[in-house]
Amino acid sequence: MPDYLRWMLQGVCYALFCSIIMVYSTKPAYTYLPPGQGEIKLAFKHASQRKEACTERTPQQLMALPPNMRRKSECSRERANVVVDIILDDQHMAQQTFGPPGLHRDGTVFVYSKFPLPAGEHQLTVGMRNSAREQGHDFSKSARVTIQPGQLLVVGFDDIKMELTFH
Amino acid sequence: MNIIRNSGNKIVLAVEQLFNKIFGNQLNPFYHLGSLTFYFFWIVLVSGIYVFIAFETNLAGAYNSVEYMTNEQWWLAGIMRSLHRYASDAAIITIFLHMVREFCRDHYRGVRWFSWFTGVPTLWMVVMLGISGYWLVWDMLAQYIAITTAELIDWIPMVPGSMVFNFLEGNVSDRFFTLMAFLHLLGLPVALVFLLWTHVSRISQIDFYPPRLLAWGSLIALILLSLIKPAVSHGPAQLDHSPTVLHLDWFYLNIYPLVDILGAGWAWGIASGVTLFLLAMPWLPPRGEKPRAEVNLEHCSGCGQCAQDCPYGAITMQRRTDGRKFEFESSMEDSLCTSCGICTGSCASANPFRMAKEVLKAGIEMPWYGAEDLRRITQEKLSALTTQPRVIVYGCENSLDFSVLDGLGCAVQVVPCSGMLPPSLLDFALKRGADGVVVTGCREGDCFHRFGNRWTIARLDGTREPHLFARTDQRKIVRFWGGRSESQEMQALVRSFRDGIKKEGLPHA
Repeated sequence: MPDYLRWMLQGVCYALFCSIIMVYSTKPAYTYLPPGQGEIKLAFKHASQRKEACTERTPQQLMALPPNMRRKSECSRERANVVVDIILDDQHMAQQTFGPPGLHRDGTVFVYSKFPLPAGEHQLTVGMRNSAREQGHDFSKSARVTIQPGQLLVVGFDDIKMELTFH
Repeated sequence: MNIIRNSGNKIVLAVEQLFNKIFGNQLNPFYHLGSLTFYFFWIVLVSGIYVFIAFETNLAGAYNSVEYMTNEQWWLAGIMRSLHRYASDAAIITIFLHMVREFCRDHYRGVRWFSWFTGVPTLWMVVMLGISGYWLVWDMLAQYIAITTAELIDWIPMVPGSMVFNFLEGNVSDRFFTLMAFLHLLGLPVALVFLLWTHVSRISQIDFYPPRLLAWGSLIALILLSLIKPAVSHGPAQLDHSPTVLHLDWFYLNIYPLVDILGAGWAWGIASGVTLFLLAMPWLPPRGEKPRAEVNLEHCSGCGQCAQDCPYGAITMQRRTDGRKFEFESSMEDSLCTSCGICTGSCASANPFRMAKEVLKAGIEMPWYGAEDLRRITQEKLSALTTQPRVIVYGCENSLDFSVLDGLGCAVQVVPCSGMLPPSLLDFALKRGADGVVVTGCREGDCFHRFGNRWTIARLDGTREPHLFARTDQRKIVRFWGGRSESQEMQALVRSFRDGIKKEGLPHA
């Protein structure tokens, strides 16, 4: 093969190599949120209620215990799941259940989930159940929200005020 | 697995043959994929140091400092940033090709399992380093990576707390960002250097740098790419917004869409499954190992040539233990030996003119194919030749297909590696009646056992011990280096070599 042809072909090989880098370093584009969509994120930590209510020990039961263990209430460790319902414009959009971590299921529940929603004005209602009851909500918040394209709305929980928050 | 590997090997050999024509054997990039990867890391390091000078390692300043480099000082810092990114991408390509090649060429099993095995965590480290680099720009892509990485880490059951909460508006702290900067700038690179050292620790005489022309060519190509398509950022990170369209670097960030589509659990499952499969590959199935080379102290003069020639560092020289007058003796590390026989080729005591009336023993040789076997088989093959001229072809078992020589009337002696041939064996063959000798082996620059054909060429050229006899007529020895797909060319060479001897008495050189 003549030298000039070899040099040319070497140039082609380098160009091909760089073309692969050029293309796959940015393309194909990945669409995380389609145009005209916003996103809701449930994101908060919350210690849910105990799954079983505490019971009071009788004096006889207390006396049967060693002195350093004589607590009046007897409580199971396991906590209830946190169940969150999202209702958007009177349509039930999603229900998510988050279990407490730990071997005894007694840790703080980490609530994290995300949902896309169309940009625009919506009536958003979020209900949360943090007890052992089967139905209904222990906390609920409803508000008219305006979501811009690409905007993120975080649904949180204020443990001091004990209420759901939108921000 | 064998079918995949053999089919892949044919493709690899065909592609490499094409590149040999374009670049020549010495500059064929496929023969320098490992050193090219090291070279790209050097570019990444140098460009990264420059970029770091102007980079602000805090949340408020990171994005603007990168934008300044990209737009205001595009002619140097911008090019450095682009080089930093594109050399990292180039490294992923060369690593991928390196892995495919080592698999197809069966360089990953048996004794060579270690380099493959340690290469897998090295790849993980390279990917983590790349990902953490994208994080530092603190644009919308960085925000997406940070949040999705946190989702991945939060999925691990043993991880306490929830990392993703760090990326809610108002929660991101400079301390966290500084931690990421530390990981990218120091922690992960140090770990990578350690892993790379481990990766190459069981091979000797490593080519850390590619040939100069290849290095310049790659650098110029990457600089031109940086000028044609400079690396740019997305918009600045906004934690009250979610990313929409992202221009992912698919070389490093391909796992992230998987997390979105399948969830963190599946993404971990796929990544772990691929990793475990790669780690287990050297044993799927394992290669049947041949007995390792053995040192015969009574024939070892302690010259050290075998230790210099061993491609795997399996031989070291130690103080004499048998009380003989020599200072050193060879010592074998069995776990590093691939039974290639290159040590026998380098051993002066493998000279077949020695111990003519006894069983020949070399100072180091394999128990299943020693110096005596080399001599005996040569004699048998030559004795069995009935046609004139008498030509013997020495070939390595990992290169050409010697069945193409059937019916040609020449003798063929196959050895594990061309590097196993002591030059004196060729002298011996010529002395015992051969009119010509053909030495064959893997393509130049692509020896199955790394250096077999390189050492053979040097020995025949007289630039490396041991040599041919000074009086040997070199025109009677021809060489051919090639892969299986070049077997017909080798047949043509042998045919013309024999024809030349018939016509002119002396072979064509």
